[in-house]
Amino acid sequence: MLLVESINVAYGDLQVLWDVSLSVREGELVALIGANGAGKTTTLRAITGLLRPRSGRILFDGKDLTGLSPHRIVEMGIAHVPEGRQLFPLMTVEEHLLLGSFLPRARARRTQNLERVLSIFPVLRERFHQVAETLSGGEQQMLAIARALMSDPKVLLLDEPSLGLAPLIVKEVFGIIEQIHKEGVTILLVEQNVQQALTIADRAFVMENGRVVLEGSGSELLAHPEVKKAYLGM
Amino acid sequence: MTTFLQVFMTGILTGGVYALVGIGLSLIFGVMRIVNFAHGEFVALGMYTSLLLFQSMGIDPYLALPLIIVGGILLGALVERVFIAPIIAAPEHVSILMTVGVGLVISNLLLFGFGAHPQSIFTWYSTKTVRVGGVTFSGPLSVSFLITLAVILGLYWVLTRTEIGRAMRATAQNRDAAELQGINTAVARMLAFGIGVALAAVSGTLLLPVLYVIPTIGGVFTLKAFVVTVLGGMGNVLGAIGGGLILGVTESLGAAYISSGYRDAFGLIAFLAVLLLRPAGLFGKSRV
Repeated sequence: MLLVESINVAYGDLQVLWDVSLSVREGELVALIGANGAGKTTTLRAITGLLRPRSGRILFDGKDLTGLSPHRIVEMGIAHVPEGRQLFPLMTVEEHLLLGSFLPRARARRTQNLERVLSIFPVLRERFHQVAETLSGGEQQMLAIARALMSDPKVLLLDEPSLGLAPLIVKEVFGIIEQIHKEGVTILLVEQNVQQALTIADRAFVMENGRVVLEGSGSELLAHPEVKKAYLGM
Repeated sequence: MTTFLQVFMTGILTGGVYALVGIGLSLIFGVMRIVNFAHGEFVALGMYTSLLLFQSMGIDPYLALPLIIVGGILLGALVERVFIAPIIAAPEHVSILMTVGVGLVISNLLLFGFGAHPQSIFTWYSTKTVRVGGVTFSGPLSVSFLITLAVILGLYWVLTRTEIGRAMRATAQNRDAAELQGINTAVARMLAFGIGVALAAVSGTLLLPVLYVIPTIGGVFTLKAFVVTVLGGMGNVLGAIGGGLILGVTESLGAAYISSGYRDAFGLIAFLAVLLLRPAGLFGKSRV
């Protein structure tokens, strides 16, 4: 469904991704794990067009996305929950959810999707008219995910949804990700929380210094000696 | 006391129109992160367009407003697409030079087309006044103020209640995130510039019945718009209303009680005072 074919990405003269390839099949939950600075966020940003690869291709449902503007890529059914949530600080929860369904295709199903999203995140119903910068970290993360779901995506890219959240909230967020996945949304999850990510993932890719170094099913990688040593501290 | 009220209210009425000029500049800065140094020239362009319509076809400036709004949006969008969009990612000084250049072209075209002599229009209502409890209001200035209020309310409605308005505010608050919602931020910028230019042109039309115009009047308004915007906080659209009223009242009081020759200087003194004491503006940071 989503195919990244040996992309190279550089910031100016500094190359940060080297021949990165990965694939996400329909209905899968794929995790992309690795240390800080391994290139996980850069990979997601390249997929949604926020960065342009120097070479390589990105295919979605067989169509070439490489070089398109982000708004065109989002239109094709990829939603991206960026690192650090990237909310609109002065807008209310309601406005975020309306913006999430800005595209005509999503606007047509706005009412149903709003009900669906508010049933997944009941706390957003309570905060409906509150401005984003007044929400707690966990609520902001939920709003970022809810905003992305409002676009009725075929694939959801999640960048570090557990970053900066209290352990109890992290558990809640992972529960929600699993629930969304069970409802049929294909997910590509970037996480530093390797243990939890691998537990819920169908497959996973491990990145190191801008390259994909390992790939396998979630349970395989959980048992892999190098993964255990480098990321699980065992 | 009556004199004070009189002077104060005149300041408020003029300040309302200044606010409209400033709101346009603020909207453009908020969404595009550039300062439009041609802003005053678009005010002048609004004035001369209305002047031309009045002189050649007898169209009253107030009745010409719908045309000015539509024309302003289209012209602004075109200018953005042709001159600003290609340099939007360039360093700041490039956009300064570009907008200053656009302004120079406009003012010189006006000079070429209309000549350097001051011009004004005379309508049946030009000298009409309204008296309320001892205070006399200029008829045209009062009408202009009421129209200004209506335009500001209309803009507020567009920005908060429509899809495209929300898209512009989203672009102002977080451009990448706006793109990720499927918003074409290049179009949002084009539209923001178009609306900003239209607001400037409308202000020009509203001031035509009470001012003499010369082709170089734009520079004065760029400066005023900048003062209004800084007083209210850069990019803070609602703050610009406060900034406009403060500028209008300061000028009016200074001109009446100290010296009318230094009318423009009083606004600049207020501007310097705010910069020294509250550099982020009276009403805080960017809020679109």
